[in-house]
Amino acid sequence: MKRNTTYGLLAASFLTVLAPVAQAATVTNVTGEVDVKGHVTGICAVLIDGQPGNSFQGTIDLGELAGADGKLAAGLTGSTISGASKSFTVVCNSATPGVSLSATTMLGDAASVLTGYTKTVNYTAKLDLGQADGTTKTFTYVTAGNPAATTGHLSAPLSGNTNNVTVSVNTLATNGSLLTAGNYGQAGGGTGGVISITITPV
Amino acid sequence: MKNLKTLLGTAMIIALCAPAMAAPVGAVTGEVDVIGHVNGLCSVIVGEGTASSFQGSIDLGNLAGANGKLLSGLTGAAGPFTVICNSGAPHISLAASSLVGSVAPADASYTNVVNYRASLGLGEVSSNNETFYANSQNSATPTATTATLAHALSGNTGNITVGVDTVTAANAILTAGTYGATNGGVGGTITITISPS
Repeated sequence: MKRNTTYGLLAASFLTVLAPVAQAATVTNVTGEVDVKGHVTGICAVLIDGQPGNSFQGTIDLGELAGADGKLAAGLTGSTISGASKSFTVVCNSATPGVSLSATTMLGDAASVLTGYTKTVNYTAKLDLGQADGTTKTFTYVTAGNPAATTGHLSAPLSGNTNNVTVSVNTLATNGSLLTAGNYGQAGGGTGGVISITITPV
Repeated sequence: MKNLKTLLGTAMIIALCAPAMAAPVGAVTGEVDVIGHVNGLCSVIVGEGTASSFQGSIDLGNLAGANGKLLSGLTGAAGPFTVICNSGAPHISLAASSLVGSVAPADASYTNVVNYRASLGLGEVSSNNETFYANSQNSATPTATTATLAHALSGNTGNITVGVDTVTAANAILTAGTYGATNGGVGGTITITISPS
């Protein structure tokens, strides 16, 4: 009985010593969270020699418009005209960029037009855009009658490849008369012949 | 053998009861031992109060340049925050998830993943400073950088700063949209834990 009492006293002493140690093991951490965010604004840009710009410019020279008979050359009236195109590299980071295409009739610089002659040449402007899904989206605009601009959206993001935008001209047309000699198109000394393209991030 | 145990038991009792024996016969003695402890603790100081966590935001703004690709030189910082720890050399853990845009890339010429390096700057006692880094990972559970500070954390205010630098992405067009979980995208979370040693 005496021995049991002694052991009990010793055990109680150990408990007294152990209890504070268990309490001291409690620790408190600090957590932190910093949220990083950003955004990418919708843009379209032209890359010229790798440098971004907001416009592209080119000239399609159709050469001699008239055939040996003085009328519009037959080689210019088809749905494709060899060499009558220009390609550019445009980047857009949006899902389905918007497109607007219009063009003006090409006029010669002659001061007057004799009966049986014309200095008015209409054509079809064509805009081909390479898409990221491997397909090509095509827009066309026929200058005759000066209609409203052709507008629409791509069905996929614009391809990130170079020369992904091609502008071309085909299906030239007159009223069938003889073409008046002279320069045709604004850039050639006449008037008109301007194809306008707008590509917007959407 | 029994005698030896009895002798040892008697000796222990004598030793334990020694103060009582010094008292006069019939007196009662008492002893009260006062103890205390200080738990290992790290805490955020907010004004006059404390908190167990701090929170900040770093807005890197528009990530893309005029060519549609990642702008160079993007950096950001949050804080300073004030954290106290009462232990000698606290432990830290730092992890970061990459920024992911809200719109998936259309093909390999696009990307919506932006990586960065997160930094954790800590002011320590005696004007010592340490900075730890973690490269972001495109994962919900990025691997953390862990370390033990070389010194105790400074008791000064503003002893914790969090930064972002070395922002990188694939050489591709960044898809338009919002980046980071708090902005409608995914990721962009820097997670810090500071523990007492």
